[in-house]
Amino acid sequence: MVTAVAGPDAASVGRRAIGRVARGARTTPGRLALVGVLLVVLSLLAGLFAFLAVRERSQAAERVATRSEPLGVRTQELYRSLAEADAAAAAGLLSGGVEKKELREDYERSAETAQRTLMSASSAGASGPVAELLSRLAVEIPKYREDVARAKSETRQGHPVGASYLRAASRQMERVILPAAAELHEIAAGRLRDDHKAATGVPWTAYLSGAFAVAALVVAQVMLARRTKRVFNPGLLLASLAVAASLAWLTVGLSAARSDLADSRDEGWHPVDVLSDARFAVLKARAAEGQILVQNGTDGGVYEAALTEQFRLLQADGPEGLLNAAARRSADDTVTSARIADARAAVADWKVAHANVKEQYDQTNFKGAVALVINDDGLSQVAFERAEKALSEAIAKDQQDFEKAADRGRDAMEGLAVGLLVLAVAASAAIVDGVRRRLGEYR
Amino acid sequence: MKHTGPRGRYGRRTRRTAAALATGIALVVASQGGAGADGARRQPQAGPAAQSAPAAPAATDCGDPKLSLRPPASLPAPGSWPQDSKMAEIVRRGYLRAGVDQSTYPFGYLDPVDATLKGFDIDLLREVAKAIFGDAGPNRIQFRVLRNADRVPAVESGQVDIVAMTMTVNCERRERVDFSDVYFTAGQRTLVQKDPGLPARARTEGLAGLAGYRVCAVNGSTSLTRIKEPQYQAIPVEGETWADCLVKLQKGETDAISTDDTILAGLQAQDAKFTEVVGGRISEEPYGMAVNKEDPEFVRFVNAVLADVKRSGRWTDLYKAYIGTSLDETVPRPPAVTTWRTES
Repeated sequence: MVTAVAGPDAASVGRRAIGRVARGARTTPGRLALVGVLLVVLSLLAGLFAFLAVRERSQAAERVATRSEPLGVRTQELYRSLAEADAAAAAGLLSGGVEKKELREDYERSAETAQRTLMSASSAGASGPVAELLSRLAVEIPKYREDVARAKSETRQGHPVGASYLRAASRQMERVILPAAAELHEIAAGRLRDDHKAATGVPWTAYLSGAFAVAALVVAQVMLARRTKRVFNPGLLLASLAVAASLAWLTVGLSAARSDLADSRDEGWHPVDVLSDARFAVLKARAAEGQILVQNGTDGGVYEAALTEQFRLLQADGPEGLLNAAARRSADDTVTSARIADARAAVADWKVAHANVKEQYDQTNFKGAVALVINDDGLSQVAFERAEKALSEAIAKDQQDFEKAADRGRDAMEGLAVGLLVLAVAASAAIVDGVRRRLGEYR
Repeated sequence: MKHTGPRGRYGRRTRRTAAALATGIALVVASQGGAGADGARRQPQAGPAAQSAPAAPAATDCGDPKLSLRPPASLPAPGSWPQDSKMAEIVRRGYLRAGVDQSTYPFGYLDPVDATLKGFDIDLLREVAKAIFGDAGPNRIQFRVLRNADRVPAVESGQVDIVAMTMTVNCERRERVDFSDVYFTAGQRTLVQKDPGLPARARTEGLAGLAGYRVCAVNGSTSLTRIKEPQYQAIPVEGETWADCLVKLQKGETDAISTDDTILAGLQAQDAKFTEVVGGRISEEPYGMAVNKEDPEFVRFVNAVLADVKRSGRWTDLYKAYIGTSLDETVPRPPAVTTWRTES
């Protein structure tokens, strides 16, 4: 709104100036007036560019905080609830025809969360690849639930084919649903990166136009001082100070915002991203461990291999190690570091517990193996829950860190845009005043 | 084979497309996880190595691999054997170690109701343990779950005393382990839904009556190879496991499943009212228990147990309990063994 007024004003000032130039450019007062008009135009332009730069950045910061990051959180939540549903479905089938209440509720809740998250993402209005992915998920998730339901009813009748329905369901989850959810999250993450970049870019146009205005003001004052034998022109001096001050303010304000936004990235969504990857691996490991027992040897070792792979990803020391990467990102965050260490210990315990499960299974103590995986005090169950809890707490904490930093970043730009415009107007007024006093001497 | 009605013509084309799709998916599945090949290995008649079935005897000729060692005239009483025999060793240890499968319904499987091992093979092994110890105590036997590929090595290395898991007696295996008498003869047949849309010939001729229809088998199995033989003109559909084939049948992704009737019996029992096993056997798979070659007296002992089980009517009871009428209206007679190997 402010630009809409400022634009035509600047333009009409320019037109009138051209008229005056035509009438009296050859006289000294004419030249003086021309210089004054030029200076006003330059300082107003500098103010306008600074205003636009700040507005663009604060809008991008607003999008980071209120749209692209929350969208990323939602797509992450979608992925998580889907992976969780898959793990809970396998555990539920393990408890046999009469499903353990907690396990059934886990499954129902996760599946419902997934569908609800999907609905809210869809109703937010999407187009292009996002809409395509959302509708694919909307079609595939009910198919998945149908197969899980069939797996349960077959198992309920004592039919081993129930396990095959679960396998068909989880195959679809791994090959169709989760990849689509991951793609969706990638798009959301891309938007977040773009918005973040737009919010933290250096405003070169504003700096250049500001510097040019200051330089022009200085040159004008030097020329005036030579011609009028007055060393200072208070108006122009004030205008120079105002433009310089607005440059300084712009620099300080934006760099404060930039540093806060960098925090929101480095202590917020980046750690949340790697922690989420670790959490997904934990959920996939849980699904694989359940499937090993549900499939009962008919999978030819596929799920055992999947479990080994998730354990490896979680525990690896190199950059591909998920917990290792998370720990390095959060090295200076003691709270998160402690939780990651806890998750790491839990995964190590889990690996031991799983060796136990395997031993029980090989000795055909199937009940004992299942008990380790789904009983409240089962070693695998306990280790899984501990790892999951530690990671989800770490994620919640870093999510809060994000929100705080992003809010600070938005606050840092608060009032900056309007303030810069006010300074530009003040500088223009000072120029007009300074030049008019000199012109008065020629009457 | 001509399809006359409009349903036949249309049905055939859509079936081909669907089968092509299904095959494509199955191939992707197999190449990604290697699951298909592993699934196939689960079944005795399925492993590619074991599975030159008709060709195997030619490759490694051992005469008739089904010939086992003659048992004593009657089942020896517990403790009546020499101290250095396998039976005495098992008694000293306190339990029989048996290699089993817990996923081949109804031969060796885990009962989902009470999470215990059950099945035709499992109960036969319990009979062996009972004959050794004179009692049927639950601690007299320790089961080890083996993968099909590990059956022969586990017996060879002495990790288990005996293996009973739908294991086809053939020359290739006979070179490394000894086999008991044949206690069950299986053969490839076909499972279909009671679908009036299927040609009438399918009910009587099985696979031969299903030209132009989709037939499922585990990827890499001999059953699949037979389905692909030109004489049948069936459209092969590949499943990851046999139960996966049942899933495909129930979801309408295949019209039939063709493999060993023992496996089909297990699938049929899970959809008892609306599926049936049809056609005659197009192959023969004799099942035997594997024992270490160093223990000929144990082979004789097991044969005595099996002879007793067959004679006493226990075999028929087990057949009724586990297979029932899944394959036929009547219970067949147990495989009769009249000739024995002469050398030890």
